[in-house]
Amino acid sequence: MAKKSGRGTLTAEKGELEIRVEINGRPRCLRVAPGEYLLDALRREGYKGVKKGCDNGDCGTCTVLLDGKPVLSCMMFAAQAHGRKVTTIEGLGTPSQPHPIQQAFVEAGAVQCGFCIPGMVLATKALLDENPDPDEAAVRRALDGNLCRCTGYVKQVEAALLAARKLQGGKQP
Amino acid sequence: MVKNNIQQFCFPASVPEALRLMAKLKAKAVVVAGGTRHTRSIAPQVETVVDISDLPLKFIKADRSGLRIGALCTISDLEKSPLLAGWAGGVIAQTAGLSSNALARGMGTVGGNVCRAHPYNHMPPVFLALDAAAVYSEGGREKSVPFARLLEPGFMRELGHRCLLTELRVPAATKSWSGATARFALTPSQWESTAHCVAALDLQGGTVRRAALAAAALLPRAARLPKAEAALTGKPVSEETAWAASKAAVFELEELTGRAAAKAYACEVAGVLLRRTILEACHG
Repeated sequence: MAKKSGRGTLTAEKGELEIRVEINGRPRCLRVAPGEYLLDALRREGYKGVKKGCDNGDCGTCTVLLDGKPVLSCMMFAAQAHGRKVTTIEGLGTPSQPHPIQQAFVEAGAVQCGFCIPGMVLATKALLDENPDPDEAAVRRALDGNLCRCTGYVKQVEAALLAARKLQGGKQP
Repeated sequence: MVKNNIQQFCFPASVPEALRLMAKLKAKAVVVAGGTRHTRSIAPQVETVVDISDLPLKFIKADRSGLRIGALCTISDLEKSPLLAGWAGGVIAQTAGLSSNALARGMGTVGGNVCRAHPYNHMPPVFLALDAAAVYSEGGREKSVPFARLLEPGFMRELGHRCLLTELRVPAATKSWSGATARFALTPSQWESTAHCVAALDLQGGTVRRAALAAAALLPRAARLPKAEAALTGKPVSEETAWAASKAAVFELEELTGRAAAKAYACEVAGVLLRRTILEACHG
């Protein structure tokens, strides 16, 4: 007999689906429209750090981590996150206690208007989780899906490299 | 929110379970793996999304018959695979690395990339050049067809809701081949290329024993270039033979594009790319 799916089937009732998803470490039960994208559902639930940019998978401002991997939340249905773990920028740090990556972005002066930064920070986190000591080329490659219209990317690349050093306990290159 | 009529999401855990759902729901179901572009183009008749991301089709391994790549491997998995880096001069990993941007590479699957068979998709020409086979599951049985069949118009539509692509197999003989890939686009991360070429060569003692050349983006679907391959086969590796093959390729591509004036530039670009890939495959 075929193994039954761990995530089962979700059927809409009165035009809504009930999905169970862990957001920033907290189990949540969300009611979403079947055709609703993860981006829209997260923003409606108050996670405004997930930015709506192109809404077409081109700009990367809507990046969130799904089971630790960076994804474009505008390109997947909210229901596809059922049974999975989502991390938004709100799950990384607080204004009083920023995550070392956020601190690095501030120290490197990598933030201008700030709209792309949540996506940049999360893409950086995914990179550093996989490769704690990346070179500049690896950083540029990992961030090539996150567009910034204010800067020339130089500061953000420096910020990611600084974050890597911070997370390794201040090791100098 | 894009308007659609979705009412249900199913998350099958096995290929038979996914096939049962697809057979039962037919045109009312759509299969989604990585998502990317697919989630933005759901047909109005679709009521159920079959999310196959839990299926055990995420593997890259080699056995006596050759290389086996699970359909749910992301483009990023291919790019980072040490096994693929050492296969046919790393041409599969290299091609995966050319694809779009890091976020799209991390979401999009190789199965989706080849099944959608969009002219701009990056993976079809490399599997075509390496004589890969597409393995799919239908009616509880595993079937295999040459990769070129998968790209034929209507092939996937004909199989429709009866089958699921499970893996791509690349012959063991291609492991020692040399390979290179090149594409030309407005920016490196732009999905739409003007032209994309792949060269896979079996070299022996400075001579091309077998050549496999493929082009994409400027044609409705990726295609092999047999005349250009003939211009290389049995010839010594040199600038001259690479030139001769690229000239043959341009002529062949002009024929394939119906000598359309709008494609003339793309054909010339493809010729240049092909010469570069041949020389890169020969000399590293």
